[in-house]
Amino acid sequence: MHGTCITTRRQRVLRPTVSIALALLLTVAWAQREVTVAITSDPLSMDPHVAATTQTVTTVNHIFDNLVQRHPVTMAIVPNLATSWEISEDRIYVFTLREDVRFHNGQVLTAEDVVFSFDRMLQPGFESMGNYVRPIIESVVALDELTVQITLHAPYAPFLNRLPTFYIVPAAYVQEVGDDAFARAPIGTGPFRFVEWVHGEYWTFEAFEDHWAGEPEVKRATFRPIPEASTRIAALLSGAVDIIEQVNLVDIPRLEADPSIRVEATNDNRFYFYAFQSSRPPFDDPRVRLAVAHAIDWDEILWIFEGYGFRVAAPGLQTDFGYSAYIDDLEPLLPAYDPERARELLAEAGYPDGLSITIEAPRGQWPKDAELAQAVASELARVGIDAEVRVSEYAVYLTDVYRGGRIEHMGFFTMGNPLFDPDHLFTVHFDPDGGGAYYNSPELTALGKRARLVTNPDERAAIYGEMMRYLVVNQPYLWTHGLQQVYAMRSDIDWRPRPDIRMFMEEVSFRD
Amino acid sequence: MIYLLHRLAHTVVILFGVTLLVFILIRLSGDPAALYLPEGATEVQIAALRERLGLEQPLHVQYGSFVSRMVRGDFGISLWHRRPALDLVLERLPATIELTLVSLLFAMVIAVPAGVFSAVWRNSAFDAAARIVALLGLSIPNFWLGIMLILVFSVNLRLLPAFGRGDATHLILPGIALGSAAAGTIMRLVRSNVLETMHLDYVRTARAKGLPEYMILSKHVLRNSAIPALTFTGLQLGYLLSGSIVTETVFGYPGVGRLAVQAINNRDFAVVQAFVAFAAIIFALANMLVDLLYTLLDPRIRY
Amino acid sequence: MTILNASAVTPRRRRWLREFARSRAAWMGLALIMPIFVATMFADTLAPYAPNDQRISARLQPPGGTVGERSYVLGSDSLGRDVLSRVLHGGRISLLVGVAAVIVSGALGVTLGLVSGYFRGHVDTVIMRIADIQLAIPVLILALTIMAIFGPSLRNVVIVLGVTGWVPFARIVRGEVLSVRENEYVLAATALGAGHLRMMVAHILPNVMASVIVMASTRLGGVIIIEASLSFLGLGIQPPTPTWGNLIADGRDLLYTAWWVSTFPGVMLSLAVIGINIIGDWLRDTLDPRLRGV
Repeated sequence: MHGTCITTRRQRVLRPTVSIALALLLTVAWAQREVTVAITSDPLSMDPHVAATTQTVTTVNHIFDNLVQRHPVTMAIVPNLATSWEISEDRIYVFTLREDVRFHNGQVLTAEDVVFSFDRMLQPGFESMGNYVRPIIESVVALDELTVQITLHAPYAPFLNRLPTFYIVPAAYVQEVGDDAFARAPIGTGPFRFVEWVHGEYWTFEAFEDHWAGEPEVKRATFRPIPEASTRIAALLSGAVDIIEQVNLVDIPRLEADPSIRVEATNDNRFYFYAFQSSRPPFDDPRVRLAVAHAIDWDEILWIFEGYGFRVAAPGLQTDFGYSAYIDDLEPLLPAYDPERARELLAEAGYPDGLSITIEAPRGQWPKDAELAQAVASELARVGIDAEVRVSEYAVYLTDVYRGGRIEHMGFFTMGNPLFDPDHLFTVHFDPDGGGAYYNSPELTALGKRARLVTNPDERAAIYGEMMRYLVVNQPYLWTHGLQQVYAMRSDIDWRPRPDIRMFMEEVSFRD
Repeated sequence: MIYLLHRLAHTVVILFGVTLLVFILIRLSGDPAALYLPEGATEVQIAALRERLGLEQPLHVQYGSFVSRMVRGDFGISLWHRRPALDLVLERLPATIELTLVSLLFAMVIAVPAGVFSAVWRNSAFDAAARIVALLGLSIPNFWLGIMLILVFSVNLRLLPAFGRGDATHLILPGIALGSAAAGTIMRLVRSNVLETMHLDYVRTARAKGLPEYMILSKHVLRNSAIPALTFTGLQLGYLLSGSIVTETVFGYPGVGRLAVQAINNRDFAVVQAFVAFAAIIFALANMLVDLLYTLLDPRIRY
Repeated sequence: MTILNASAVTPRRRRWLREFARSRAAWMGLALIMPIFVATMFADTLAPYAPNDQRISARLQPPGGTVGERSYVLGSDSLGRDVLSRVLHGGRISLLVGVAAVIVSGALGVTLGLVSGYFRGHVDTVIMRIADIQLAIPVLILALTIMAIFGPSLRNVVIVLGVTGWVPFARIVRGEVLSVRENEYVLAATALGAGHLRMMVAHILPNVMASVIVMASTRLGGVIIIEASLSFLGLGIQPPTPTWGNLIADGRDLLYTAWWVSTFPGVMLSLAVIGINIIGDWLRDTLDPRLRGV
């Protein structure tokens, strides 16, 4: 999208605009079109600038819109409140806003609301949403009623990819009532109006009839937080809820056998890996890291995910930017299961008799985290690596083991890529100025920094191809697997899960 | 009156002891800033948040400001919920009290009569059955019982709701799951104390005097076996708060226990502290009640 | 339990044995707990496989299932580990943790309860305030923070369960002492000039023993259940170490599909606790002098 102008009059895909004729016919039936969804936890706030958990984003996305949104299937950036944008000098973005967009209180959206929203989320105290872009954005100004200009300090190619989690709030209303009252009674331009939130019990939305994309088919959506996987299934089976997320993998066949229930899955944008402690022996030697990669039979191990786990030998997923451009070249380099090769590499690295290590993992934070560690340990034993599994509670694990940089040898971790761009991986793990704590390499840093400045997609994809190649050959982390997100719903509900694992009720329709 | 003032002073001491202990322990157990910020937050960002939360100050300074705010009823703002921690706890408290009372009621209604009659009809079929049921109540972990109850009554029979809060039917399964262990314990305690008292000299004397059995039972036996049972029930309140943590998790019941689990997992210090302070107050009140009932039931005990 | 009873049992050993042999309940309790105890203590030789030996291709086999040369009498778990082997190995740890924790809390609680109830006054106040403080902190929070700070080792779990368990002993003992103290024979002994230690050990301790035994027998089961609950919340002894609590927790999301994974450890746990409680009851009936010959 180098300098080109994307315009579309098409409204948000899968935010179905319903024809008037159909609307008249089905008005009566619609009156009962309610959905109850069980998700794993409460949102942290109804204030969209406060927090970034998946549940929070899934929630606030009903009340608020953003400048751009993602296509529900391809995850490509598509217009939302901004109908088009122009990019100049690789760092100046001029967005043209949709006309006649109304907030739930009837106010009309203007460029001032957009400026106010950006200023607000870039303030300290709105850590979660502002963190990634605070160092990037230089200024946000309104050029006229419906035009906003965002200027970056320096070119940052994946900038648009950051925007789907930045929500536009009504400036006048927020200023009038203050932050606390706004969080209690949020108002946005989104397809649903906030009704109430009984903490820990449920929160409810009702369809916003004046939404610019048309009124959603679902008239009333209720969310319930149910943390236990088995309780969510019980709630679905007993008819108390209509859609559940994070279905327990072993229960899928049972749910599929029930004609009143449908199971849907999508690839998640998250992958899992073991970080090596590569600052000291034995894992400072890439041969030892590679030996570990060759020692594990993933075809066997991934069965613990009942067929819903897939091998990710490089830190890229199908929906990521550049994936198709580099994956074919990468394929032959991926370390295959080859215990013989693993033993050879260990011997070459000076460990002919094997070695003793620890594998650290949290418990119950990610699917089968502790079990996977045990499975990996038992694979490693076969090539002479004696691995002791150490499992701890997540808060301790994250504070002490992971963030604290105190992984002894191997530590299990995961990264979601909400950016759908390898830049996120670089920012989080390999940028010495970012969060990267475990592996530093001048070569990798140079690649990552260059990719941010280059806006030509082919050129960027080529840079990321090189980065992936480096990450596979040097194995700073042991890339393991990705998972499918599995949902179950009443069979008369029509809804397709999204790779960004958010749930938008305006994408729900009913089968009659 | 003096006694009450005394107790009040003790309650304050307990409250401070509890909050101090938890204040220190929870701060040593993990970093909320690291947990709160998304993956990829830099050391600088984490340090900035810690600074803003006041976590970089020495512990005694933090505790000082915590106490000075606490005495004004301010437990601080929840990092995760962005609302006063006290509000969050107060909002969830009624649900937990409701569940706790229902389960205690369930326990007492079943256990006290069962215990008394088991003792009176010692070695009868009733005694055997009641004791076996009590043993089961004690021996089955409540989270496991909870899942079993959901499986049978919600999923298979579709009789009762599996989760959440609403009308009274929502309290039945969690009430049973939470109260069953207490029921078993109270029944056993009542039974053994009734048995014990029935063979004490003054009861024998009463019997020798020809008092009718029901008189002996109500006048001598029940009153004297009530003390341990009451102690236990008072103590049970504290355990029920702990037990409710597990039960509320299984049943997705929106009480303080579940709030506490989340707060602990997130190291949301303000909420953990508000929760602990509340648990402490409830506990102190329950104990005061137990002690007061002591004096009523056994006039020889005076304070 | 065993420690607490030792002094009371010895002088009456032969009668004790005779009564044991005559008691149906005792045999029943023994019939429940002994096989479990023996099987778990000799898990190394009795278990068909190593507890952490996994075969992912043979995961979630139902009880009686056979895959290749391995047969799963009680089924296999999500990593294809043998449930029977894990139940046996897990039981050993759970039982030992339970016994150790009850010994710790019993010794602490009886001592403090006796002292508190006997001396009353300031000593009582201080001890009971500590008890109140300790009781007023939910076990979960104590367990979590202590384990987070010192690491979730076996020893730390015993310490947490032991330290959080002393108060019920102390309060029961104190409550009884408050009553017993006022009895004529104690008043008489005091009048005759019996020393504090002698008073407590010789006159008061035997009288509160019944309650202590009931409490200990209840606690042993209770502690094993608390360990399971901590595991359910992910705060107990951590995997891969098998304990009954961990095994139940492993299977809690499998209940609809692979019920055997947490059912068998749950059943074993329940049977063990029932057995422990029956024996506890019987010990109480036998040891309490006031109930003798009834």
